[in-house]
Amino acid sequence: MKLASYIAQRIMLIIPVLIGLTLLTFTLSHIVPGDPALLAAGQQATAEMVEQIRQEFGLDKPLYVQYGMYIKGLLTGDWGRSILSRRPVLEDLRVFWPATFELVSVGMLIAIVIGIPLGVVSAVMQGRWPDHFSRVYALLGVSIPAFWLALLLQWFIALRFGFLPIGGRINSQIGAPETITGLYILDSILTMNGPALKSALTHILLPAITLSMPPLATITRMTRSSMLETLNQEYIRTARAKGLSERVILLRHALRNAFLPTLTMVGLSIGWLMGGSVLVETIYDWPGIGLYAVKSAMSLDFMPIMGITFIYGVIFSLINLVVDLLYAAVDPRIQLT
Amino acid sequence: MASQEDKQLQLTRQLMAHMERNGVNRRQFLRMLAMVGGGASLSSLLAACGASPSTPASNSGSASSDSSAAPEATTAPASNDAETAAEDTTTSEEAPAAGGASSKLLVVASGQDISNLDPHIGHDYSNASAQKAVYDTLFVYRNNPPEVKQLLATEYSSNDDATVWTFKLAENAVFHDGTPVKASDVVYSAERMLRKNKGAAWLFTSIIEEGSVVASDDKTVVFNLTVPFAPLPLILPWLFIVNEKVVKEHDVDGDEGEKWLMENEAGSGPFVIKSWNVGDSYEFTAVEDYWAGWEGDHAPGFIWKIVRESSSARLGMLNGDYHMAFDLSAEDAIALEETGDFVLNRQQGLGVFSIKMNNAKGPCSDVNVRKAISYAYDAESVLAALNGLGVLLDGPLPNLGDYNNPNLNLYRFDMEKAKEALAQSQYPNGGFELEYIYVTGLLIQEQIGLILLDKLSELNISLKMTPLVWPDMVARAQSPETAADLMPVYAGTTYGDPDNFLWQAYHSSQAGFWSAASHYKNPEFDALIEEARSTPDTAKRIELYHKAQEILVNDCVEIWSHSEFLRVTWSKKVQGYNYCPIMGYYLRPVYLVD
Amino acid sequence: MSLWQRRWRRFRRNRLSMLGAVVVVFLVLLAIFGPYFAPYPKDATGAVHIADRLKPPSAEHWMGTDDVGRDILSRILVGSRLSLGAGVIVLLVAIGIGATLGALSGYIGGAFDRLLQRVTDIFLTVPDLILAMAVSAALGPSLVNVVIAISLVWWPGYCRLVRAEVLRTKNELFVEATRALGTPDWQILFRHVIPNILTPVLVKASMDIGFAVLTLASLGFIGLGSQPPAPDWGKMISDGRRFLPESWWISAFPGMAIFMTVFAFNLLGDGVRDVFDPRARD
Repeated sequence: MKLASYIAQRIMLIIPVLIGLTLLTFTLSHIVPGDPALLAAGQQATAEMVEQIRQEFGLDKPLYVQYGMYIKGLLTGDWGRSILSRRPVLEDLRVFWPATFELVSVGMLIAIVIGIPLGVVSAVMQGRWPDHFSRVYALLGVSIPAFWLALLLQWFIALRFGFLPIGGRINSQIGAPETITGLYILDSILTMNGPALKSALTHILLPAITLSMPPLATITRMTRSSMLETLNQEYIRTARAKGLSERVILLRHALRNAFLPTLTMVGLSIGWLMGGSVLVETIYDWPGIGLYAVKSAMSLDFMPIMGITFIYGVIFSLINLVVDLLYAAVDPRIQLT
Repeated sequence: MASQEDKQLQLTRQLMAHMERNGVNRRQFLRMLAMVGGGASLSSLLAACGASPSTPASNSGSASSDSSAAPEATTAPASNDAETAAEDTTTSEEAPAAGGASSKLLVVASGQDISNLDPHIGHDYSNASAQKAVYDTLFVYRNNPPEVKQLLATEYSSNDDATVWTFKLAENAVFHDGTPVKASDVVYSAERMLRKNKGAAWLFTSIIEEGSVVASDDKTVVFNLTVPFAPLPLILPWLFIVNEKVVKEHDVDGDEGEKWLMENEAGSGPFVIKSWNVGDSYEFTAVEDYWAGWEGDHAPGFIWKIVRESSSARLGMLNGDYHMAFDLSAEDAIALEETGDFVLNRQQGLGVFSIKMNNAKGPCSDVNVRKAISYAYDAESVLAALNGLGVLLDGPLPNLGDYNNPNLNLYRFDMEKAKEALAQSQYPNGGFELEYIYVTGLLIQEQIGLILLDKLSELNISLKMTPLVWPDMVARAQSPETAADLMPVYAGTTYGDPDNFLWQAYHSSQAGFWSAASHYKNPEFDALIEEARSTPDTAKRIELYHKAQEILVNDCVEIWSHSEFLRVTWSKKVQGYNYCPIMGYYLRPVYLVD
Repeated sequence: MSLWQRRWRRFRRNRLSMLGAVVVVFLVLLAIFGPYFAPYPKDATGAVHIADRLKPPSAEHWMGTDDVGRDILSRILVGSRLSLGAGVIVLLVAIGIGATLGALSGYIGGAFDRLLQRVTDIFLTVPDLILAMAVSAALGPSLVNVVIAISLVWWPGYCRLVRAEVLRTKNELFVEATRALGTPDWQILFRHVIPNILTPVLVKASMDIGFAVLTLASLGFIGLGSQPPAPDWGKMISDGRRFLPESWWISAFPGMAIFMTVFAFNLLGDGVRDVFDPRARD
């Protein structure tokens, strides 16, 4: 009961924020210079075609009416149309989302799988070379411009040596596996499609590595410092005094307690990954939301931008909520409300 | 081939005759021609037709003289059609060619998405290419110079004043669902296009309205034009025929299948859709028993792969992942060509790249300032930045043969002359700023801006470079107050008559249209080209246009820069592809060999 | 005084941070004097040499030339002023807005505080790169607009920080004591509260400046930053991208410059945080 009311309370807080977000993006979309109807109509368009498009998109109505229309649409599943693709924004998002989700997940996975052990190792070997390395890396990883690293990897690994593909999601001759989830890796496993799986994995490797750099750094760092903190706690010393093996201490006690701050960091990193995917997807020609966002921004196609910002706002708010709930689940000392 | 030219010649003659008689708005027609291309051959044909019978066609030696006796010939004789059919293996009489799909799947890399497959809405090169794959039209464009060939139409004729056109449809033409292509489908397609009023509709809106197109029987369709229009076959490649029944089955709230057709097809073309991954790739499968047959070998299908980065496309070409690439950078295209395994198109098109100067407002309203800027324009450097994949323009027109005035006093790059010109202007010492607006992300336009900026600084003129999206540039061009001092424009919609280039860009009535961003107004010039467009006599027209070009160049209206090649690149394993300057790629004849 | 000496000593002990500090000083000097060292300073302000385009690194051009023949080293040197300058301005604006509103919010409290908290939530709920991209796309591509966009996205962070510090300080004993003595609110704010919040703001700013440079470069890379012929690092990288297979140097060197700058500031920021906030240290 308490949990339900807490969740309800949190969602009540999310709603005004999301409304504010729509106001912000709506304002932005009307600061944009130029005429979106002209953009949609194309070079050869006559004045009537432009007018027709203007009416179709409701661009001839007063601002508050347009905002009202937008909100109503948001609630009823009509997120407007992309002027460029002429497809409904929601549909575009549905199509592009799995690619971004797959990329962010694999990037996150790399960051966790490497970051946590690295953090543990550098905590245990505090002051020795793995620790120094991880400390330098923690700063290096967040300092490398993702787009530059992407280009370097492309140039070195894909162009010079041809080890991995330079971009895209899958080899077009192999083609996408049958759509079940929209995630190529998962789908090709589910459909037992070997060539597609191999192609999907080789395609995702470079972008995912590029994307995982900063979260890998922060996760390593966070694991290390929270490990150190717990290792110095009273109960660990007690456990040591009791003669428990170092492995048991590490895994059963220290790591479990170091898990919380790391979890927070993972949650926060998802936001970063979604932002960073904008650059990474652009360079690796990865057909996801980030690429869609850049394309729309560059052509001042604002309905998609509004949609993307909104959906990211929703996702991010939910992630925060989930992190908080997990926090409570993991650590009973933490009180909800 | 001669018969093809005859056909075109005849069409054009009809047009000329018709204009002489009815004084139809020629500009309207020419604008349409501009849209559909037409190419150099058309220009020469126009020249040939406009000429008195004693003047031979300027370049087409094969133009048979027999039909010249009948400039108002109103029917396309059946014999002509038969001849066409005999030569053109695409016609329905031919059985599907032997060989079949022995080759591999063709993969083409394009930087541009297929944003809307709806044949009456989507309208750019990628959409057009896909539409040409899944839909048929009464006529199709092929080759360079472009030729219009029959596809769904097997026979056609028109009445004396080219207002009533009758087309016979191929007996064996069937849609992908197996139902025959009927006259009623053509009627529905035409009307749907008119109702949607998007895409290529503007080509037709001035000559037909709903009810104009009627089916007289299942395989005969009649176009009753609202105004006489002789070159109807030249624009019909832009009327895609949809399956009325299928479209109506997918009607949602009276949208006539608009939502559904965006990613699905209801056509009779050589390919059907296999898979549709928005923003990523689109796969098409060949219809093995395509009603019109195949031309020799053919691909089992093709994939339209979106590859936004030129370097990715290049690598994919090298790896054999892609076989054709449409949007490579000059560097990447040349690098591929140099391997010896790829072909890069080096045929000259009819595009005109020029830099509009605001003749009505600001420093550029001073002719001497314009001359100074023109002299300071380092065109050779621009061509070098393009890696030589283009040719410099010798005046306001692309290469149109006799229409080009060979004695123009051009402003070739010369800083000394630039300084002299500036010294005679109101700003002998420079000291002002010009704004150069260009399309965001278009590398060559940015490079041109930088080249100008550098040279203009030697004249003590500063240049502000403002990247904009294209619609904003169009909006800026609308009035002299908002028009930028300098604005590069690539006129890609081309056909070969001087009227298109000169009227659109310099006639006073056009000022404010993006192609007339220079806001040039000169009554003397107006009178000349008005006379030229209503004059049937080619020699006279040539004279008038020579004079018109001279005026433009003397007024130094804008910087006439260069004409860029279409940078399509294909593997030597690709067979059957012929460059055609008309928008969109016709992939039916293209296939791979090992 | 001795407090600062102790801090300095602690900072100096951290070799990495010292390295960062040295590089930062070097970069600042470059930003100030770099244009005078640039071998071809005009290449950063508009000169082009088509005949020299796409030349690999050599004795004349240490870092090669770009697609219109400009010397890359010169452009990087002149560009450092642009990048660092814009980064500093972003922080000044973000801190200016954020700290003022945060202080007011914390001090006034009530409805104003609640409203402002929701407003900051709005900005913090979307990945900042995406929001900054949307804002600068809407305003139009230019250096000024990018600076506005990033500041707009970043001020809530400082707002939150300052508000929290103000709330903390407000309730501390000495502030309550002064208030009891009848000191006016604004005097308390300026005498006691602000000096106390200065430290955390400085620490955060020293960490953020590298990210400001990075974000600026990212937006420049997308094409939203300063416009040609300005030597924007991010734009230099994206320009070079089209020539990557043969002419790697166009993208590689500006990227190196960004990386060095961001890394140096991060090292420095890390040291500064250690000094002022020993708790954050392990």
